[in-house]
Amino acid sequence: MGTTRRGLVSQRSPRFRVFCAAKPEMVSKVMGIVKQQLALSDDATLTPESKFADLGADSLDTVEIVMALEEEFKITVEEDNAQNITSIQEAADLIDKLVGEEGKAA
Amino acid sequence: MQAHAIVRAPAHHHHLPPLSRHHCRPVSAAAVAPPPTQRRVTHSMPPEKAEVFRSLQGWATQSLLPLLKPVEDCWQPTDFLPDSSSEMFEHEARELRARAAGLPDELYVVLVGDMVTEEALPTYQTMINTLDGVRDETGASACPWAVWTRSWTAEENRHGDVLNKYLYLSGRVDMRMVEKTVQFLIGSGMDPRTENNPYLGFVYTSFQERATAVSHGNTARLAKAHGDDTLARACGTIAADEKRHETAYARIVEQLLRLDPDGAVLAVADMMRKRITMPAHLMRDGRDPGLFGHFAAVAQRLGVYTARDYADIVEFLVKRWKLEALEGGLSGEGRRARDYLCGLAPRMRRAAERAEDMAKKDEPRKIKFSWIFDREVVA
Repeated sequence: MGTTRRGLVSQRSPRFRVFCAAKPEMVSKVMGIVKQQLALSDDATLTPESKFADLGADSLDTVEIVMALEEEFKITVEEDNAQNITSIQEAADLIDKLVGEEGKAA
Repeated sequence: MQAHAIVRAPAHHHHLPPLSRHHCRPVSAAAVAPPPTQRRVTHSMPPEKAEVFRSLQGWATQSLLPLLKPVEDCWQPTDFLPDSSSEMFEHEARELRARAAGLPDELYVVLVGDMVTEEALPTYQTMINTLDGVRDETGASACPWAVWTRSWTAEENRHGDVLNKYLYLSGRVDMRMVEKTVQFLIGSGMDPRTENNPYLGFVYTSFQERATAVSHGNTARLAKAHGDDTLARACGTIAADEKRHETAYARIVEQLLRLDPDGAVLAVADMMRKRITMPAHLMRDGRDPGLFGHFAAVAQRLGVYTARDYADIVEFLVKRWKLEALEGGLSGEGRRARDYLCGLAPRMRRAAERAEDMAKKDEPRKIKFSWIFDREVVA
């Protein structure tokens, strides 16, 4: 869990992140979890950039979103990473990274 | 990891740059408020609701003031300290210092933090007097609300006094640093976001009195475990005062729930959402920028006041105020607030457990405190 075996350090500049970021299925799964946690209706429009705080999440909601993501994807999110997850895209990217590391460690 | 994972801290709070190699923050119950909202809200109680408190004046006289103890029946700090007018004084002081030598540094850190908090009493009396409808309009008002506030303040005043004198005599702490911390704290004040609103204010005090009773009860237990029965009795006596005060404030909110269930349940939910800030959240000693967080971390690790305690208090108040059964007179928003509150404690407990589990994986870190001459404790 949370192994230090990292791939190449990303040289991508921030403005490319959106295009090279996590797969749509991952983003969609994260959106589902967020909608459930925040009791949003199924047709609520979320975008990858949607910030949890803007969707009405307080810090307890954010912890619970992280816990739900951990359970769903079988990962462990370190506290300092958890603090940095403020949007759906950021969550999806982190999960991608952690799942990728799990895969390499296996 | 922080149990404040339950809550985020605003920049001016203790959530400062981490010291451990994992850059993980300590768990603690210092349930600090989420990042401050942009505008400061003031006088959020609609003026016509001040009438509720006017109408409760008779009730306050009957049901609140009797919870105060007559001064003649009250304990005083002297009851727990060497008698300075006696020729036994030096002997008693030596005995106190011998007992004090057996208490660990981390317990002193918590005792000092608690003492500093109690010594900032001017801030708390001020805070209550910011509340519309119940403030002491003259400084000697005969209105039962004002009588309550002054007498409450007077009872509380002994808490800081007894702890101050005990710590001074113990020889175990750097009193000058402690005194500076007190001066800084009184100068800083506190902002519990009660918006001059007595509904919010009395929810805050209900929670806070219980929290402080838990905390002093635990320091009493630890003092006893380390062989200082006198200190244990002093802390236990302080805790008993706090419990009695908690009873009083909870009764006020109970009345508000009876008279204005919708307004009251919305107020409880609002304060829980905003989180109950610790009174000493602006604590500083001029040395450690992370002082309050460090103090809170030690309190967490010692089990004096923890994230779980916070969840337990939420649960207690929900039961005490019978929120699960609250039905009549609720708006849609009120029902949502009630449901939020009824579900809150288990969620907080889960988050606290997670934070504690993650903290266990961290290396314990050493934190030095100016209060104990820069000696270090583990947190």
